Amino acid sequence: MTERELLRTALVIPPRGRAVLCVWAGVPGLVCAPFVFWQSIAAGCVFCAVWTALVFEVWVRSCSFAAWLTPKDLVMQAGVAVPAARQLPRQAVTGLFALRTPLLWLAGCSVLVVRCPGAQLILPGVPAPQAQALAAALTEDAP
Amino acid sequence: MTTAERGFHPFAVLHVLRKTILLYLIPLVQVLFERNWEALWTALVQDAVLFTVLALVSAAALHASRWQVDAQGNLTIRWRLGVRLDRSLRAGQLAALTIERPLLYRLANASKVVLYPAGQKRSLTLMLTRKDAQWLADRMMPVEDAVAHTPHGGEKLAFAVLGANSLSTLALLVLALRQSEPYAPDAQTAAFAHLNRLAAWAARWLPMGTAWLLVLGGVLFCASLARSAAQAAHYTVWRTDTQLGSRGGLVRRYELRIRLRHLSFADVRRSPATWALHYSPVYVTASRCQPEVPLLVWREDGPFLQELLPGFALPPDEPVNAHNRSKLFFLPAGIPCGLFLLLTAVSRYTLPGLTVPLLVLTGIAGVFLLGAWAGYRREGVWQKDGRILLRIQHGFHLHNICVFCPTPALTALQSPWAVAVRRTNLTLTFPGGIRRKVRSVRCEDISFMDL
Repeated sequence: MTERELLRTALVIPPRGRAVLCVWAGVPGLVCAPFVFWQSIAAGCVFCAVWTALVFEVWVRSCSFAAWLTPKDLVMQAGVAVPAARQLPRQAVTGLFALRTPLLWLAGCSVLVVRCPGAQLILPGVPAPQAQALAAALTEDAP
Repeated sequence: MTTAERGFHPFAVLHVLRKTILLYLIPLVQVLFERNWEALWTALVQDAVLFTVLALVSAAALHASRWQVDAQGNLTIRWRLGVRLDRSLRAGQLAALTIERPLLYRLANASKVVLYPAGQKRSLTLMLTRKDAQWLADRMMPVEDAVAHTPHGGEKLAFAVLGANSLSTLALLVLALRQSEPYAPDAQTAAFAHLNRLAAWAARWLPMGTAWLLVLGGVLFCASLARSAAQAAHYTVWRTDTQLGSRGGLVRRYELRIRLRHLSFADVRRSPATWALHYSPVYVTASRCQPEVPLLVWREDGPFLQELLPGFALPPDEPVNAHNRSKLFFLPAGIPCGLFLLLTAVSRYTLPGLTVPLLVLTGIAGVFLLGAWAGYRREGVWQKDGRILLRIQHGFHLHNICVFCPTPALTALQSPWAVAVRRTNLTLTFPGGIRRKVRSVRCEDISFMDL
């Protein structure tokens, strides 16, 4: 994928990437749930309901996630009820780091963290080829 | 060419030793259980041994640690104690530096040098001798062909008044009283006894609680004024082609140098006091360096600020379009104002003695509410000649900010209600992680953001 193609397309999280993010969000809840059920059944049920809502929120947010490259900036937008948009100037990017766990590898995705002085932007579960192309475009000198 | 290695001032070790005070409490835990002189004596001996060991280790580290500057002004610091830790800082990446010399440091010929690398959240603090500190500052950020300005007369008075910060003075007072408690238990009592005398005098005309509040406020403001006046003494601000700087202070000497290339923003603060004095304090920020003292006070009809900071512009002096704007501006002051008003109404029938003090508090909250109203009408974001201009309200102050950093990170966050009326909160993150938030701006006003 070239930079020109990246400028024309937006990065979204594919269904497999969303599934990985939901699994990550669900694992701490699964670990904690037995201990909460140990206290009382009612507390366990409330905890499960709250945690399910949290995982659902992660799923909704990943569905609405979009990131795109412009000639000057990297822009990210996510959220339905509380939309948030972030914009990092390409010129300010000082570092990148890409994460690939076995689950992400199976899903063909990776997590990209873009750093600039004082701020960072996390692009979770984006397709690996697009993440690589984006990293290459951002590490080059900004136009 | 690299200069010879130089050592640190012994105060560097005192800084480390100060952080080990908690360690000396560990042997004293045993005394709590034993509760006899023998246990106390053993604990004191253990503390003495611990202190001696730590002092010897610190002295060895001080003796072995060095710093040096090469011909390009790049700084290398070497900490050696068993392991060797080297840290380098390129002169070009230095955004700002400050040299502080409080009274105790001046007596010991020491200076505290704080270096602020560009874009980093952590600064680097060095304890050097006075001569070394000046030499390091001149090598890393040399002052060449400086155009200097020293405030005189009314400008100096405005500097002292506008630089006064009651909150910091209050914090200092509380800290001082707390610190003095273990050594002189009656210091707090004596201080409050003096205040009580003043309050008794004021209480001839006012109810006791109100008089006490007014006297305390007055004393704090006077202390803040005195501190600010001491900072304004011998004050000079200068500009070269590449940097801005200032120095001054009567008791606590202070010097600041900021590289213009790394300047994040300049902030002109307006308040009722600036309106009365016709001067506004100007604060500058570079990387993580946010000086407490204003760089200068600016008479608004003069071109001085534009000469000092080329390209500086103020946001337009007109109200913004407040149609459908969030009413959250009024919440921080509105809640206490409503609460005090309710309590005043209740006290009128139950505790009439408290009505006047509560009315004073309601009045103070009401003044903050007026400040919120000013923010509601004037807070906003503009773009002029490629620069982003902000106006933000904090309490009584309106911060008029001109952004110099070409690459701030932008974040727009909308609530469901803000989405409906096409408004958003905009946060600018500058190098060093410093943030400034403008509330409830129209989406069409932030055309520089790709929403």
